[in-house]
Amino acid sequence: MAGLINIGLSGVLGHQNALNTTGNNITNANTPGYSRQEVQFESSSSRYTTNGYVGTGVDIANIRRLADQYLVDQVRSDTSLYNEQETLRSEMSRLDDLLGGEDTGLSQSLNNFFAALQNAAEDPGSLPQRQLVLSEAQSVVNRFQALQQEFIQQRELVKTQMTENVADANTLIKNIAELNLAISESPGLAQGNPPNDLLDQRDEAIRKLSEIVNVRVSDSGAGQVNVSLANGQALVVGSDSVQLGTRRNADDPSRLEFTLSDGNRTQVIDEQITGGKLGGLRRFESEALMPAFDELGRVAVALQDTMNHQHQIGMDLEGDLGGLFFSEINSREKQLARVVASGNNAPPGDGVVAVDITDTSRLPAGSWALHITSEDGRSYELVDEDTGKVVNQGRLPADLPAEINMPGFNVRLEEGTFSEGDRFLIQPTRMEAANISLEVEREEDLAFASPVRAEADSGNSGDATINQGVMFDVRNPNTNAPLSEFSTRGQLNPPLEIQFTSDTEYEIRPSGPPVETGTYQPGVSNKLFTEDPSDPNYRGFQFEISGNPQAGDSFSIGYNTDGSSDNRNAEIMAGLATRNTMNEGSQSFTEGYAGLVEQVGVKTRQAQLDSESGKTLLEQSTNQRESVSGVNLDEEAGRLIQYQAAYNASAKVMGVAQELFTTLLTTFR
Amino acid sequence: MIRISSQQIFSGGINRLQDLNVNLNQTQEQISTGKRVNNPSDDPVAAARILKLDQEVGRIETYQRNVGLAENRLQQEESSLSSMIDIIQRVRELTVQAGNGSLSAQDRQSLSAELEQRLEELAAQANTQDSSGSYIFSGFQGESPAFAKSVDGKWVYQGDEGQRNLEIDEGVNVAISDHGKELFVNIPSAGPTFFTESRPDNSASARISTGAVLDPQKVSELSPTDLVVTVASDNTYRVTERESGDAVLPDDAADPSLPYVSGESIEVAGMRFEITGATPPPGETDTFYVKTSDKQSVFSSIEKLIYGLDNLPKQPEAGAVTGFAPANGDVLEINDASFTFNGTEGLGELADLINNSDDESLAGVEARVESGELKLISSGSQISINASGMTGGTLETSGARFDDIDPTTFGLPVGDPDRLDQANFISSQATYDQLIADSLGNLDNAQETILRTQTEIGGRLNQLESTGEFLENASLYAKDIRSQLQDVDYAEAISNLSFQSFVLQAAQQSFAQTSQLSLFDRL
Repeated sequence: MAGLINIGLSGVLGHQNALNTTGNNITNANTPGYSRQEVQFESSSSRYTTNGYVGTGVDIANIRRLADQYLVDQVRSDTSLYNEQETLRSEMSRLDDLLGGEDTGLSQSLNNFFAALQNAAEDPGSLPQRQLVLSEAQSVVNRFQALQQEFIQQRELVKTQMTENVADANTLIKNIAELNLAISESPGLAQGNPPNDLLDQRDEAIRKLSEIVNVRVSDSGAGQVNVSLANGQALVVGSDSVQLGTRRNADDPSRLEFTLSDGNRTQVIDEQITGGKLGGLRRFESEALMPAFDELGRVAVALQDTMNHQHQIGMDLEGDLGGLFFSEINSREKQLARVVASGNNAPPGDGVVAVDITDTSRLPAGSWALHITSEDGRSYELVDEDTGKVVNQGRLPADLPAEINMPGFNVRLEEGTFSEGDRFLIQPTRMEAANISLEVEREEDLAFASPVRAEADSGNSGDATINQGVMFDVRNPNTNAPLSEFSTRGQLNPPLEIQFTSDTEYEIRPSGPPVETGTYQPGVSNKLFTEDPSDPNYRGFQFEISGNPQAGDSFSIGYNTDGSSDNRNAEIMAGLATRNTMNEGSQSFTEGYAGLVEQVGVKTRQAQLDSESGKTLLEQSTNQRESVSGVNLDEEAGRLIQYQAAYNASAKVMGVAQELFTTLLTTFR
Repeated sequence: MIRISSQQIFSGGINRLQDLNVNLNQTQEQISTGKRVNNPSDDPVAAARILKLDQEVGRIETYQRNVGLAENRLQQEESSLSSMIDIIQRVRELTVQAGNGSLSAQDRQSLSAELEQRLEELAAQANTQDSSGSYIFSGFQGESPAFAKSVDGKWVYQGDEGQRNLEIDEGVNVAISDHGKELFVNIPSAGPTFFTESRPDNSASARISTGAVLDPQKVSELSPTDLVVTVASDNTYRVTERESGDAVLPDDAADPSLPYVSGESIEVAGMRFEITGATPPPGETDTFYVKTSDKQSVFSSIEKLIYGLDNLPKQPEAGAVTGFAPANGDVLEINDASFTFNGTEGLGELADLINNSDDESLAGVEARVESGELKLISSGSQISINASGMTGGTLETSGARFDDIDPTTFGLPVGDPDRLDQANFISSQATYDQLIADSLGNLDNAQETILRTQTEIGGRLNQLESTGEFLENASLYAKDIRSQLQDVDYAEAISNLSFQSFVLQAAQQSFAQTSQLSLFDRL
């Protein structure tokens, strides 16, 4: 009978525990990371009697946590993936909105600017039209600067997020180490009774960490796990942990780099940060944001250079040669700003490097790293940051300055000491959109006219006509030296006279002896002056005579004094809107910008799709984990009934035992 | 059997509702903006093309504006030119009147006065300004009037040969202006002509008159050489060739300069002009250019006509033969008629020969012996006497221009440069008639030049019209493509919207129902 009471008692106690566990399951139904638990009953060891084994009730073998480590790992890796893609998506969408927006993008203001130029060409003397050109040009400048400012803001926001996430990660890493310790020291562990709640907490902490960065988890025995970065760099070893950190990148101070420190030493682990929010932020920075900077800068620099050149070979309303339209692209300041010397360069670290943009039509968008590779500081390599490939290498001359020629730009090592291992970041277009400015201040200074014109002498007897000429340059493009023809303000120096000495021969003379003679072919258009800058007779302009001249006919070429109604240069400038001036003559400004928009659009679209599929994957693996570990309230309700019934029955067993006892007692009274 | 946790039921339901909401919101955005592509990422390739099409549409709009502006300009130019044609037509009528032989001096004066008026009118038209005050016929120099009066009071072109073009479509330029030089200056002249010019730094009162051609033959012999008249401070002048510096008047560089009298006609190389008020300071000279040309501005033509009306008297008398004693066998050519003498003839016989000749070239030429002279009177053409056939006799003349006969040189062989045996007689009447004829020709040429430009303008206007139509189509086309890429298909979007809201509603209802199911309710 005592046996029966004990049997009943074991049932009551056992099911009380089972009810407790079910209650715990029910109350934790919404606890993140909670794995449902179940009581595992086993029958107590039977007592041997002569009749055989007689059961002695129920024992609780274990309170089991229903968790599948494989599914937990799966959720973790999907969490990393999803968070990386979602972070990338949300940052990309911001960029996408910015560039594609009708009011925030560049294309609208570019179109308006060129339309204003085109309209002003109709009435080149009109000051209101000129004013409109200036204000539209200013709005182009503002758009470039605003876009660049937005890029910078987003860059800073990315950095802030990196720092915040690293701080969160550090809390989690410490937490995991502490949990490791707590688990290893938990009393039941040795008896095979793991601390279920601590395990859940640790799994949840690791899952949260994997939201931030991709980690690998390995069992190190004694209930502890090691957590490491994807490539094996340890973050948590047993109860020890290291600290992640961020600091300014030595090679590129505008960016952050990630560090790992264990109290003694700090190492850079930039390349090992993959996956998770940090991985997403890094990818956004290097795959989308920096290229966007470079690409926008490329459009800016091409626009400045092309407009400046055309404007400078024109003539303004007051008869002066046109000045700069936008800012000069190769000012000393800008040349130096295109190079960032690494903070890790060997002392004295006084090497001066500048970048000179030579040809905006060939200039690519991108950044390069200049490495000094030999001990004497004279061997160098130029590495494309995007592809990581060496695109240029060689030896520097013994004496500085030296130039490294690249398509579209020159890297000039000017002075100072260059030592092995020195690094310089070359960013020809990174900051160009910020540094654009409008240089023309007055409407009158817009050079809509061309500075040369030609006239046939009124006494000519032939029917030959001369055209009004085309301007190439006011400086020699090969030497960049100003052409003497335009050295005197408001004059052509010297004015030229074309004198036909016979019907087919002519002399070109300023005054006095002829400077050039030529043979004339009647019936076709005859070009005067060379278009080849290396020819000593290069004058920066060209004229054409056609028709049938006669001996004694003369034509004069002079400065376009008072040429206020001339719109030739304005027409050419307006035509630059669609001229393929970029990318080796295959892109116009708008196309260059549209290329950037398309690039960002494609990447955003990709990130959206990736993020969606990542989300689905995560949902699936979460569902799988949930289907094993999640609490189903209906199930628990069922269990509640089940256990309650068993509890009642066990109590009844005890009641029966009591009745038996009473029966026995009354029998012998 | 798959287990499902209560959390799954809720979070799954909520996630689905989220997705549906996002989709619904997207469709709603498409409908409210009317655009299928709201962000480049919605369709990156289309977005880039839309940017290009935006530019295209913007450019076409600019071009369309330019077409309109070009049309306005050309129409303004056209109407100016039409007025000028009318004025020239009136001038032509006046010229015909001036050619009437019975004009009194007063008639001439009033004609000349009206011509002055018309000239001013013509100049005003040539100096038409556009809406922003630029002179439309000045070429590039729109700030300065196309024609202004020089110090000599002549209308002179001040602009250049600049022609303004406007782009009206990709690579299509149309000229929206014409310069006055082509239109009014470079007009082929009916006969050889010249124009006069003062050097800008002459003494303040120095002027040179427009002048008249007396002998076209001589002028065309001189052309294209230009002459320079230099008046020195000692009141003498010389005429030289401009390029070579060769002496023309006097014809030997060694000869002393001729005395200069202000306002007195200078006749040289078939031309006549007057220089007035030349008072160069001591040691300096006043310089005047006489430029031969086969072109003449319409202004010059009218100025010459006015000069002729004012300065060429209607005198038929051309010149006189003052002495005549031929040797036997001498031959004299008068115009194309040739006369042979036996040595007995005198002035009376010569007069009879001329008057009785039936040679056509002598029609209108009358010879009259008066007070010992044989007066040659021409009512039309000029008279030229060629005495190269005279070897023994003598011939003396007076009133010949540019050439003269000197019987003392008849001893020299024919063809010797020093032998003077030619004489030209031009009556003012003949010069005047020639001027009228030339003027009519010149005015016709001027009209023709303007008409040609008007035709050209008509062509340009046609081009503008067809380009305008083309742009209209291109714009429609570009907008159509842009709309296809960018705009939402409303039928589709609205059907999507109603379907999506239906699904959302169903999801909401089923979620509400399933989430209510709980075993605990039954306990």
